[in-house]
Amino acid sequence: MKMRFCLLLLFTSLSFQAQELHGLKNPILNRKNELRIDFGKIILNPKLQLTYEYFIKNRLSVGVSAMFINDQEKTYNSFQGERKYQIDPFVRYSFSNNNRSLFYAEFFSSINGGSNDKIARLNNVNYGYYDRIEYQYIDVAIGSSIGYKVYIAHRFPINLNLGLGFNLFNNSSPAGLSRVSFSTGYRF
Amino acid sequence: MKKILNYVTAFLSLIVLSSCGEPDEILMGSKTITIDNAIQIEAKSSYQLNDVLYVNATFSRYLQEKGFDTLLDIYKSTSSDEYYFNFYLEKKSAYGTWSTIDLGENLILEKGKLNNYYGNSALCILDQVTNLYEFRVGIPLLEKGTYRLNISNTISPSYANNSFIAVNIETTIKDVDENGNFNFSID
Repeated sequence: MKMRFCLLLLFTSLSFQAQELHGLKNPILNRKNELRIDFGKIILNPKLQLTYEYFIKNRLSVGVSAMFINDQEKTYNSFQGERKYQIDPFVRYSFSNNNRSLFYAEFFSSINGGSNDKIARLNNVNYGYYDRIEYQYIDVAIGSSIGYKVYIAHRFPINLNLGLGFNLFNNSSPAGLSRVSFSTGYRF
Repeated sequence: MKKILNYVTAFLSLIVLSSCGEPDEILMGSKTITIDNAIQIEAKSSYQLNDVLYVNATFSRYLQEKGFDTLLDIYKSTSSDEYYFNFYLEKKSAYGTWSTIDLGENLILEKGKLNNYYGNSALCILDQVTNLYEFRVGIPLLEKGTYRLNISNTISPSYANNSFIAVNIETTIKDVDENGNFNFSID
């Protein structure tokens, strides 16, 4: 019994030591800040999205993404309208023990604005009819995402995430919005 | 910490899910208006060989829409001067099964147009003078037997000029059963 207890103590102390060493061996954990740019959006769409992420703990981080869309391009679709900008503060939690290659989930809020087409019933003198009307909108959405991130040389992340949010307050805004990114950057 | 995260996750999930739902206004899509007797069958108590069974459709481009004081202009809303519905004729065999009759070139078209991509499509054409969508066809009854004529009670814009909203019309049809069949025999 005594022997077993000693072994348990030894194992526990080794595991704590391993965690401390893990921090020393893994330089990623000492770098608390990360900047990323979404190159997927630059290549495929005329959009610029920048993200800053701050690591509070091993698994927990917060950040903000800001996306601006080139005004000259028509990106309208029936689901998302024609967004002009989107600013997304987020809280992210990693499910993986490995800090270099990890899956995560996040909750985000999104301040988004742009224009949106809706069908409205209008009236002329005698009759009503349906027509498409353009509204300008600003709204706040909340949503969640999942993603995967891998680090190259402990400093350069490749991040892929996919999420969906819903606008809350403005009736003229699109019901939903997506949060999709394929980004890379620098952790420092 | 994990427990707090679980609570936060559950709370935020609840908010996200509660924000899902039908918007108040119409998005891109369709709207359905219900009217009476837009399609009429000129029914007789009995049919003889070589009689003609007529089917008519007549409805205004201005229709009453529930919840609104003004009539709805379906032509201005859809830009479609053609509305269509489908119909097909079936004959009962000696074995009790029903088979569809290919009406082919036998139909007598008096108003509107016919299309036969899938069964028979009746195209109701807008008369710009009377502001009525109209269709009239005669089905010659060339064989004795027991028949049923199935007519769809939904009339839809044909998108001749394409549009962003489909104003569909749902109508009642006299003399049809709950399956939309007009049953008759030719003696």
